[in-house]
Amino acid sequence: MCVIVSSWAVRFGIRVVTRYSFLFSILSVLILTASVLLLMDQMNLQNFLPMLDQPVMKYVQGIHVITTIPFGELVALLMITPNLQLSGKEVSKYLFLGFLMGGIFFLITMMRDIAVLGNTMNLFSFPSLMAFRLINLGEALSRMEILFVIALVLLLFFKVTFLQYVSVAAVAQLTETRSFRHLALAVGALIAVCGLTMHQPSEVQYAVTGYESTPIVWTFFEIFIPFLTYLLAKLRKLPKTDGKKPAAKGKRCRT
Amino acid sequence: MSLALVVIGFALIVLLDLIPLIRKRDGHGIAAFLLLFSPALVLAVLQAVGVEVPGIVIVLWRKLHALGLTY
Repeated sequence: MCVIVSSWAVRFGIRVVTRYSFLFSILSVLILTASVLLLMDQMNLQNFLPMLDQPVMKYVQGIHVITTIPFGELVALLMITPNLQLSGKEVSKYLFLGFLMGGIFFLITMMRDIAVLGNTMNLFSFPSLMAFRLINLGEALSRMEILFVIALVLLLFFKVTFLQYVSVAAVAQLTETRSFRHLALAVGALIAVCGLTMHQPSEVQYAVTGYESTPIVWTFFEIFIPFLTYLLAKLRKLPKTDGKKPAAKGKRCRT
Repeated sequence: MSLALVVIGFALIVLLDLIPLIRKRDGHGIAAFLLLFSPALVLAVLQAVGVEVPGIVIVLWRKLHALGLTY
């Protein structure tokens, strides 16, 4: 059902996809702030100790995972930057401001979970859900994990919709077609079917891929290819137009 | 039953998207549509008839693990 709604949103362009993003962001920040305040009495700063006590390779792996999986995905935003009605400097400013805000909220979330859960954090698939479960405001307001679920569903829906839009735009540009909206449902079907097979044959193996192989594979797409593209553009001195946007070889998609 | 649902679902996608592309005679659009639609249909039918299709991420992890390219 989520994919059908996403596909329908993608059919009508990026405006529909991003119109509600501000609302989603505000809601998520409010939920995060509320959770930090409500869990303040259960935080134990001793849970941060001992610091830097793991083997060096663990830190390298951790940084690599964090760089590629949550932050590296931001490279998908580059697909919509040519369609923005802003100057290059403004685009950079807003993108980096957004990245910075995302990083800060991510850090706050991680620190909250570590302070509340400590070493038990590794036992859970969703440590934040467990942290929310610990919120207790008496009999009436004890099931606050619904807030986490609301934030998770909202943000995942937005992420899936945006990535689906980017995929459709990429295929449309590669095949030089203007029939952008007619590809949305096909991409949605592919996403749904791949989503169903993703955990087969074992969910444990799938979880292991997240920190063993995914960072290595994604580095190629998220860092190597964009950097190579940038390098080639610099070497060929692109764009060659006089301050105007370069004319794309492929037909521009409808936004 | 599930196979019938898959066929109905994919037939709806064809009606909504492929038929207008054919009417517009958009060759590139038809190619792009089939590029995405065909693997989705094949995977969906395989799952509907009970074939266990391994996740592509897990298959990739196994190959990389065998090559020693994982953490």
